[in-house]
Amino acid sequence: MHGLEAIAFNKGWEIAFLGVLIVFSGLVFLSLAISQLYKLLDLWDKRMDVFYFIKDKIRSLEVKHPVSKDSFGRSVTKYQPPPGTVASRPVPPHVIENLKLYKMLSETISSVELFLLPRLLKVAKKRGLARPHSTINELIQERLLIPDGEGYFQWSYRALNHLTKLR
Amino acid sequence: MSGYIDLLKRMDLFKELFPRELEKFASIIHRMKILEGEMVFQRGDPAQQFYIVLSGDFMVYFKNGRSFTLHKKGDIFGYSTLITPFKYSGTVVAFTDGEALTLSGQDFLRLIQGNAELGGKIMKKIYQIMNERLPFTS
Repeated sequence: MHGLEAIAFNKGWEIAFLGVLIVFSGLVFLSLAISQLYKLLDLWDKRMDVFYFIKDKIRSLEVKHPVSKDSFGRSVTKYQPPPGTVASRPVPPHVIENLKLYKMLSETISSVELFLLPRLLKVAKKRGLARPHSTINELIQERLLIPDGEGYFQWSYRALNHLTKLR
Repeated sequence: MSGYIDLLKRMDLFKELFPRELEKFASIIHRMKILEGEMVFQRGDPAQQFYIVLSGDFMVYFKNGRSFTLHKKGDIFGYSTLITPFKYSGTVVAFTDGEALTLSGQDFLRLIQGNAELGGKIMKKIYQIMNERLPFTS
């Protein structure tokens, strides 16, 4: 038996096909590896940056307890009572006095519950009230004056409760 | 400068940046004091500075009178420095004495335009913030 007949008899074609398959698979794998090598080199260059990035990510996965959202709908991590509810900490007397005053002012700029904060500030300045900026800020911090989430402000239930008690 | 890096790292806008990217920002940042009642900038002014709140409370209001307030460290205002026509779209007033970090609009733009990855990370956050504030401007 000679030539092609001998090759076929000894499974030469199968062996040749297998050989071609192995070589080409190896070439494909090598070319893929080389084409992605730049990413590995880049990662090696940034290895310390990646380390700190992962470290910070792990730290940020610590459970937080947001209990409320700010006017943009973002969760706030520091506890704040939801708008309108009565907070456990009492409101300082001077803030209550300011609440009365600013509530009256708000009624001069708007006949409805919602009003524009810059207008309230403007009216307070016009009337010569002392430190209107920090006063308004205090009313906001005490959750007496709250945003409606669309650019307007209103008095909270907490504020209205205090005003009712004063009558 | 390392003090600024630690500060920036804790802020939402910069928390995804790598340390050497933070260094670039830290090198162009300045600190400024703002007084109660001060108008930081007015709507229509050329937008030259980008601000990051360190302390204090601020009100941002727009032509339609709508407003929102900022009270947290890391809150930002003045992002019109990065967006045409580079004029402030709102007015910012300080409710209390405070401090802010400022970046010149030119330096900020140069930084993010010179580095696509860095620019992508920052602008993604800024667009998120712009989106949140869009209802207030219309």
